Amino acid sequence: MAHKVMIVDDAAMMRLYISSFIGSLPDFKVGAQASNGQEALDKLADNPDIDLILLDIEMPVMDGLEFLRHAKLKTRAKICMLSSVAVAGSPHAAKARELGADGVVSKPSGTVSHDLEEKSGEELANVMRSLMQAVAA
Amino acid sequence: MSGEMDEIWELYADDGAQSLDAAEEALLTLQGGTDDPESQIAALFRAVHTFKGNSRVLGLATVEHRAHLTEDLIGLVRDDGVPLDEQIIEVLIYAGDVLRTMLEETADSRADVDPAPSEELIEQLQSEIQRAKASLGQEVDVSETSSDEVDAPIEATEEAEAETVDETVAEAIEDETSLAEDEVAAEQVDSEESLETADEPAADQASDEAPVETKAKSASLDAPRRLADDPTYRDIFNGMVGDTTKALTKIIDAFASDPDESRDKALAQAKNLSYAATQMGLDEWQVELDAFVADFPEGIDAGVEAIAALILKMDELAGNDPNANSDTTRRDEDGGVDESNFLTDLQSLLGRVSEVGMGYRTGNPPSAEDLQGLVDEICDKLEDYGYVRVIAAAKNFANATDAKAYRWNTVRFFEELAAVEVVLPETKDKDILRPSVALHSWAADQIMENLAELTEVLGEFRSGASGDEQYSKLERLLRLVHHAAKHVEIDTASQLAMALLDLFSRVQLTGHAPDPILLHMARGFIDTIELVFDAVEQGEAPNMEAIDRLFEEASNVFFVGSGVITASSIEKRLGLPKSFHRVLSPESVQAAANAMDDGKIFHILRTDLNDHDTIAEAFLAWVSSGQAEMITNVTVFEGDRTLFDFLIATDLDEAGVTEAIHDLDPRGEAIRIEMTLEKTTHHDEEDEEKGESAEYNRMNTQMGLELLETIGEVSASQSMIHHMLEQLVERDMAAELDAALREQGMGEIALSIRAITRKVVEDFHQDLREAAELEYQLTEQMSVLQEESVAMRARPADVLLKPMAAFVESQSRMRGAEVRMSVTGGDVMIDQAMLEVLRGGLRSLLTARLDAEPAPSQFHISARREEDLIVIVLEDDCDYDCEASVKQSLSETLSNEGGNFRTVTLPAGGSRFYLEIPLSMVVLDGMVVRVGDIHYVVPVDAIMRIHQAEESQKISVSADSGQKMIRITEDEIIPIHRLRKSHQNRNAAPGGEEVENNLYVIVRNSDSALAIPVDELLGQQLVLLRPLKGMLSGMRDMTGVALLAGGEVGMVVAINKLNAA
Repeated sequence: MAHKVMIVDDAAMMRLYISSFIGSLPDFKVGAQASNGQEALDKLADNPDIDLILLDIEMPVMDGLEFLRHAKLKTRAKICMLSSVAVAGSPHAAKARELGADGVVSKPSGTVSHDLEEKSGEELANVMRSLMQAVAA
Repeated sequence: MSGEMDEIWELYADDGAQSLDAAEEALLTLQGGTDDPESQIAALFRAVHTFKGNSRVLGLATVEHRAHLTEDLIGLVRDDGVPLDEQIIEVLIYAGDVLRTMLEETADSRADVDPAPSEELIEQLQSEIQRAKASLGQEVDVSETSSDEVDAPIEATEEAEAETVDETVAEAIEDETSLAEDEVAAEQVDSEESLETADEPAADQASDEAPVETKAKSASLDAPRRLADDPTYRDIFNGMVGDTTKALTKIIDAFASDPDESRDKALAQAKNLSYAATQMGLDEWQVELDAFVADFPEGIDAGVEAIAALILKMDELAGNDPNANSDTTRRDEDGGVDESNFLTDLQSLLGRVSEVGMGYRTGNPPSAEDLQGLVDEICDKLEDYGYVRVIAAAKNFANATDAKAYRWNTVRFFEELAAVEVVLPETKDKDILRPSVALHSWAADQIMENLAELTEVLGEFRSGASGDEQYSKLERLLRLVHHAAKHVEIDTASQLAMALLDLFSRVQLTGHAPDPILLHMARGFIDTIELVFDAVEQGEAPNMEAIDRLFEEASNVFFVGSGVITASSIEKRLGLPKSFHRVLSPESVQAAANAMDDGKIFHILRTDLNDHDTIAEAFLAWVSSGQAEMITNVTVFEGDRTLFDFLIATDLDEAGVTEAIHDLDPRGEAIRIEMTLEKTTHHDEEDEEKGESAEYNRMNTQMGLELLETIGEVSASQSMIHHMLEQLVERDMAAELDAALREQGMGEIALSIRAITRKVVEDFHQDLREAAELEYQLTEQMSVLQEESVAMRARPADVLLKPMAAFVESQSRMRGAEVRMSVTGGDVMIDQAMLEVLRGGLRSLLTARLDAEPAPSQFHISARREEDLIVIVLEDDCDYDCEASVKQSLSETLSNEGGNFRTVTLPAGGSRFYLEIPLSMVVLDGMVVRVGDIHYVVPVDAIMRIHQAEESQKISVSADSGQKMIRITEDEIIPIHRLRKSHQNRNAAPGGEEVENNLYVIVRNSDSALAIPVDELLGQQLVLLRPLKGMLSGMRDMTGVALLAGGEVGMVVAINKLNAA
């Protein structure tokens, strides 16, 4: 059965790209979408069967790090930061790890990365699958 | 308990003053006239109600009674429509003054007030209540009611009200700051709900505004009479029990060393808890504790037994507590879990986790049932909060198979608790043990051990291992370093640990091993953190520059690793605004660099894509079209709108881009040019070069230690080349050629040809000599470089010893003792690599000694150099040996480094521990021998014996191509193996007979014994082995070179490669 993914990103186009990418993975499907952390928290309450959350960092209302602080306490869903500011080894990536992000992937070309699938698709799919394997284990 | 009671009385005083201030303010507002009298009356009621409740909780019957009457009068105004006239206001102001006087007196005396002085207030209040009720047509004898309450203040208090009051105090204990806000909100809800649900009889829904009849009825129910019935107090008491148990356990450990002091401490602990039990109304506890104090026996064994029995009894009593297994989770008004109670509910559990873990240390590890019991206990208490990861972490306790696993499970559990703590309102209760504080403190205590383990993991990566096990260990250890850095409040260091974790985690996903740059950085991180903690331990300011620099490098490591220029370089070249700082990925950097090389123009376009789907699609198609290229983009928050700034590169100038944008967004709604960046040709190339250079210099600094290692290896390899060249120069090539020709039957070769051949060979030999001379100069230079690099690696022993003294002090304090350590020999220089080995060893030795029974009262540590060894001597005043496992571990660790560990019990009392370690990295104990002018090192463990042979013992075995052998005994004939082919020739007499001194080193390899002829035995030495690399690794019979004590280079014989052929 395909794992259900929630996409949390304030850029509508980015949600579209991520949805499209997830659509290309047979073992995943989009379960919910939200444009900020607060909306994601609300939707999470209505969608307890979400397996994985792909989470942007810079968002209005409630940013990704704040969402991470709250969400990871009460959900078993794995949380993967997918953000342009989470460059490898950067303070944002470090903070995400500190707060317990299960995975961190950088967007390749900024907050709206139209080339997500082309440039980071393999890495993202690897992370998503490894997180689901960790759950299964 | 006294600490908690002090705090409660302080809270009572502060909170009471605030309530009376609020009441006074409301009264004055009402007196002066207000548009909103209802809210002021409500505030007045709340203030007096809170004051009354708090007074009741502390058993101040008189105060509570006066406050109750005051509240009744206000209630008539608030609920029954009695007009608030000047007369009532005056009485209430008077009541406020009297209550304030009572507050001050009770807060000072911690006892109830004399009822007499406030009789006047009672009369006035009763009079006003009568007047008010009369105005409503009611007939109530208030004087009778109030008298009953004075006589039996506790019994006369209704359950529902008590709950509300208790909650108020609980909140006050937990969070002073949030009290006011929470209460206001709660009271507002109460007030609103009471109008709708006043008739509902359920106790948990009864409110302060419930009718008097309802209150009177419920007063006869199970009204709480003891503080023990209050969940908050119970939690505090349970926490105290946990603390007392821990303290008593420590006292048992220390009892034999100081029975008098231990007894006093144990009695003090029991008395404190007894006092608390008295306050709580826990009679059974009080009886047991008082009996312990009264009957404490004489003698060490009896004392220890008595304390152990008390611990068991306390455990039993805690288990018998009828509230212990009940659902103590406090809930909010909707029946949901009140998360603000989480930390309080946690307190007793933290003690339990520690208690169960202590079993591993005391040789009584918990059984599977014990562990499951702990899990059940945690789940019972915390599951309702819904913190799934906390519960998942707790359940892992059941899987702990040993102390290490339990310890790691504890860390994970505390990490999850700390994550919850972050989102809870901050508590000001100093007695609440916060998981984050405990975790950080614990990690800081273990920092050196964890750094040492981290070093080992890096070593495993270097040696080619890069499995999940290594990554998993690395993650755990980096997290612990992160926590430790939090403890000393060096946030950059804690973040840096996480940044490294991020880098390694990403590499792990690739399935590749971490590259050398990342490993260099991690090594530099360990060194830096070590220095940071050493500095902190000695009360000095750590070097923050090094940490900041490492952090910068962490952000660049992927760039450097992939060979592209760094993001900061691009940021600088383009003059990018701050919003683009640290968002450029390696792909973006590469794209930007290519675009700059192509002379493109860079623009920043501000877009509103979220609200304009069609334009967004067209725009994104354009930046992918080739006419413009998107480098990166960032989010910009403008009011409540989310916009995006795109950095694009194009051939179009500003006018061209404006035109293109117009085509995409004719109405100019969604896209505009924010900035056109300077053309790349305008950037300051000199600055750029400086920047790049500095960047690589920083990286080089990190590689310093590795560089020194490399110098050592190059130096060793060069010595080997020197040796080979020397051998070549020594050879008489012409003579060898003649001999070879003769052997092939070509002795009659024409003289002219021979002359030509000899000329060519001699010319070649001349060139070879010149090369050897040049190489000799290089040898000299390498020798100087090697000496300098060795000097650079050296650190004064103080770097090691002084932190050890601080370590002893802090560790002994944690064990309730004051142990000092004196230090000498701090100026002895020690190789940096050896410091780590010694540091880890000394820490484990000192910890073992401090944990021993009895622990030493003083230590002395010294460092000295003995020939090629550094000797660290630790001495204490206890005359028993250290724990066998520690001894074995130390012996193995030092032995692996070519060192040694030994202990000596001193005749005059005390023990002395010798930690001996070579001057530098040594892995070999070797016999140095000379053959000709070359030094060789033969591993001592391969030497069977040294044999001085008679000439007659040498034989030649014709069946084995003339193999030379030596007959040691009648039955033992050993083949001779020469280390130098030229040796025989050089020492050959004119007649071809060998002139040897017949000295042999007999060695045994895996196949057989061999006799190695040598000219001289120079002695046994611990030597530094440098492996041969590259082409040199193929050298016959040699495994590497060694730097000898006298500065010479010795060839290390590879015994297992030797054969007799």
